[in-house]
Amino acid sequence: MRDQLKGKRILVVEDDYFIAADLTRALQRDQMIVIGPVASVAQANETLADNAPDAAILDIELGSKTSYRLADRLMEEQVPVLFVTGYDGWHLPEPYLSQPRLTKPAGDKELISALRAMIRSGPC
Amino acid sequence: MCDLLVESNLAHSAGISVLSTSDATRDFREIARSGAWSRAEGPPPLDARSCSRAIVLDQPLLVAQPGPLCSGSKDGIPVHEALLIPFYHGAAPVGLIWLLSHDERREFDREDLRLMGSISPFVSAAHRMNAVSHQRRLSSFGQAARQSMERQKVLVAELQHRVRNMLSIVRYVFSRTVETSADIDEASMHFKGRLDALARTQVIVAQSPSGLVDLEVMIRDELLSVGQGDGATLIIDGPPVQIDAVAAENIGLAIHELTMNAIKFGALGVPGATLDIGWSVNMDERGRPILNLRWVETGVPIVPVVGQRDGFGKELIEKALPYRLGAETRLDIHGGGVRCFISTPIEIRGTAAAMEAPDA
Repeated sequence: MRDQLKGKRILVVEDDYFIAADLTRALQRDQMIVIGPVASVAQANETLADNAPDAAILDIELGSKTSYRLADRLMEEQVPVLFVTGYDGWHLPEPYLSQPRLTKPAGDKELISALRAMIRSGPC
Repeated sequence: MCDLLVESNLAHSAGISVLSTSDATRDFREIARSGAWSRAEGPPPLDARSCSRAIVLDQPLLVAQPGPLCSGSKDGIPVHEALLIPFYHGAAPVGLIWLLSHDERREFDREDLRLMGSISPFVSAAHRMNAVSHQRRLSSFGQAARQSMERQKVLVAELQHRVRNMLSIVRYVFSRTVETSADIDEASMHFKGRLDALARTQVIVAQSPSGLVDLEVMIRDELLSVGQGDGATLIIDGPPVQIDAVAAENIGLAIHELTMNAIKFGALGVPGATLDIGWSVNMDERGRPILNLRWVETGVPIVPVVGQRDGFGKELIEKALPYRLGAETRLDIHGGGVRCFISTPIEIRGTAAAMEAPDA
């Protein structure tokens, strides 16, 4: 089961260092390659110029901005997107309601199984 | 209006009743009352049939010596005559003006009918205006209530967001602390210290109506928590600076790590050593305010090992502050003591705070 995720490149966009570091460690422990982590949409766009991720984990709220535009771009490029958020579901706009989502603080097991489901069903 | 009718001796008592919305039942609701009857308890002394007749006939109706059904109030005020004057909005009946005489000294006549006929359109207009302004008040009240609920919803979501973020931070701090501590006692001690530092910052944030934190208060709180105050060997000095909660959490934790290190290995644990904590604010080339914070230990004879205790303090200062705050940091560990410099953009929110003040 683990091999399915091994070597997959995961973009991590999360503005809190501790949460980003926690996500990074969980992904690396399961032998995934972390692109980033980056704290802003601008940095993510820069990173995407040189890297093609297999999946992306996006914090919805990045400071005073949101990552919806970035999510649109990634979904257009067929990159599966996993949202993590401190807000409840009602906060999400309509087009993203069906998108996989984790609520903070997310456990490692939840994170890995969400990624596994995405990558299995995803278009990559 | 009713007062006026009574005062001008048109009637002993006067009142206005309007039809309830359910027209079919011909239910009346009293909205005004004046004169002798205003001291009476219970509904106006009118029988439904007479009222309906006045409305249907579309003309004033004199009820002389009303029947036993409305022969007076419970507390013994007799009714000699009643005059019912319907009023309309367009073609739709709205209600009745009722005039009462309580004894034979006042009997209604043709002149009263004529006068009331000319007054009733004013009553109608007044009632309509009252209804409109009532409706407006209701709708503006509703709007305010809705806005307040929306605001409440946003605040709750914001709080929820902050709590969940904080739990995520605690989760990471916990796993890092456990990984890098020699044993459970050490892990427990370090973790409690870090949790307390986060809690102190939260207390200051919660106490401040603006959600901003006074840098000096935060630094002094941290040092006081380990029994350290100003003196010959400790200088804390800088202009008043307010920082937001996120900056406070991160800088507060950094101050905590530096403090614990200084107690164990540095200026707060060595006799004769000094610690200088100071800060200033200046503008960068783009005009953004930058907070420059320094932590300078001198006179520490052996080389202290900040963060090398477990690497958390070093990671915090060298990685977390730049990542989260866009800060530039430098941590020097060499002879004489630890020197740490943090330069971070801050928001001066004077105007924003002033604009939000009326809401607070």
